Amino acid sequence: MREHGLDREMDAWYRERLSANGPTARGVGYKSDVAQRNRFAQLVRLLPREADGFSVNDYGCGLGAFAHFLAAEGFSSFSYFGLDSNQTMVDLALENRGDHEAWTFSTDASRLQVADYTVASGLMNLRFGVPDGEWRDHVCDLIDALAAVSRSGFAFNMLTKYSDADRMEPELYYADPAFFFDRCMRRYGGSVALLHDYGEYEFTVIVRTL
Amino acid sequence: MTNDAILSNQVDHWDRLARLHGATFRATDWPSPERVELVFRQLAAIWGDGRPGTVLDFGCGCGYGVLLEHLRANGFDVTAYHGHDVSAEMLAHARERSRDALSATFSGDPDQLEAADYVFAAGVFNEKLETDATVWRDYVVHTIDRLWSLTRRGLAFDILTSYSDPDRMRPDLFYADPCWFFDYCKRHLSREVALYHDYGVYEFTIHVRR
Repeated sequence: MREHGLDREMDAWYRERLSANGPTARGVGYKSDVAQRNRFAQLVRLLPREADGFSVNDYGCGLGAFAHFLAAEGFSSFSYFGLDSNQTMVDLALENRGDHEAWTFSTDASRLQVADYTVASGLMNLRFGVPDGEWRDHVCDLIDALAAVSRSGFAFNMLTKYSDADRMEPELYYADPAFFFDRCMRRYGGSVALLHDYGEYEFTVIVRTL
Repeated sequence: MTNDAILSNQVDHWDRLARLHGATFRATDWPSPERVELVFRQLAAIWGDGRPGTVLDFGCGCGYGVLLEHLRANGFDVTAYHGHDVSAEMLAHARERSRDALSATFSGDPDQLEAADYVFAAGVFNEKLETDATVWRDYVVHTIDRLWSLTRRGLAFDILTSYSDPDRMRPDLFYADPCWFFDYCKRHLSREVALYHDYGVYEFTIHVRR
């Protein structure tokens, strides 16, 4: 992806969002706080309700809102690692983690370790000028990367091809849910849920590997 | 094979099982009692809120493993239940079994079906018997269309999956492509569709919401 200057473009896009909206859901590219919570509410279905003490990676964590969401939902003793390529966001996430000192954040992908679960929210949408086929390959690599660091399962969301054509934006990637469902079924052990019923123009895939 | 021929095939099959086994687990053709509970749980999960609601149970069977009992035992506030089955022998057992249940009615006449908040079809699309698979798929789709027209809040059904080991597949059973059915429901029924293929058996559940 580097040959497209994507890293720079991505960085500039997020920098602009963040400076215009501050450290909020809008500041990391979500439509609103409600929209962000709705997405998290789907991802959280990956996690065990009763069990405590699980570990979770947040791939593309932004400001770490998912960790705060988990805490607000009553999850208490989980360990959390947030990865984001944007240094400003990681700095802000660290600043805002309060007394959750066990939550770690980093821009360094080499620090990513195998956890029980991995989530990725909004990681695969913004593709700027990368052509469909190439972006899809990139997304497949990303999903492989999620699988590689997840012991019990992982979950991600993407914008959907079942959107109104006149509202689709060229710099965003609208995925075919069936393609990704099928790929996950065949590659990661055959236990997959595809949630496309929460009122957004996107879907969530939950893969259980244990 | 015409729809009438398919139907009379089904009636013969289920009447025979009801006569042979009465209102017992063996009449249901499910592989185990646990499986019945598991499928009921998957279907009932569409009923996410605590609001009271009415239920249409399409293919209610003989009264063993009654969906109504499962729902009420699990805290769902079923204000009215209607069980439908093509087999009169099955229905007779179901009526007997549920004669003390509140607000439960039964019928074998598909033209008598009335709209309900939740419509469930548990295990009714699996046994195609001698019917050709493509003809059976049309029949399933036709039935799903009809059930959706009777649905006020949500429709849930399960089907055996095409992601099964080929050497364990039986010629009298129907194995559906979950992607195909997901796409059908998205394009023809509703924007809000979820596909669950994550509960450890060779089948999937689809939820369609208004």
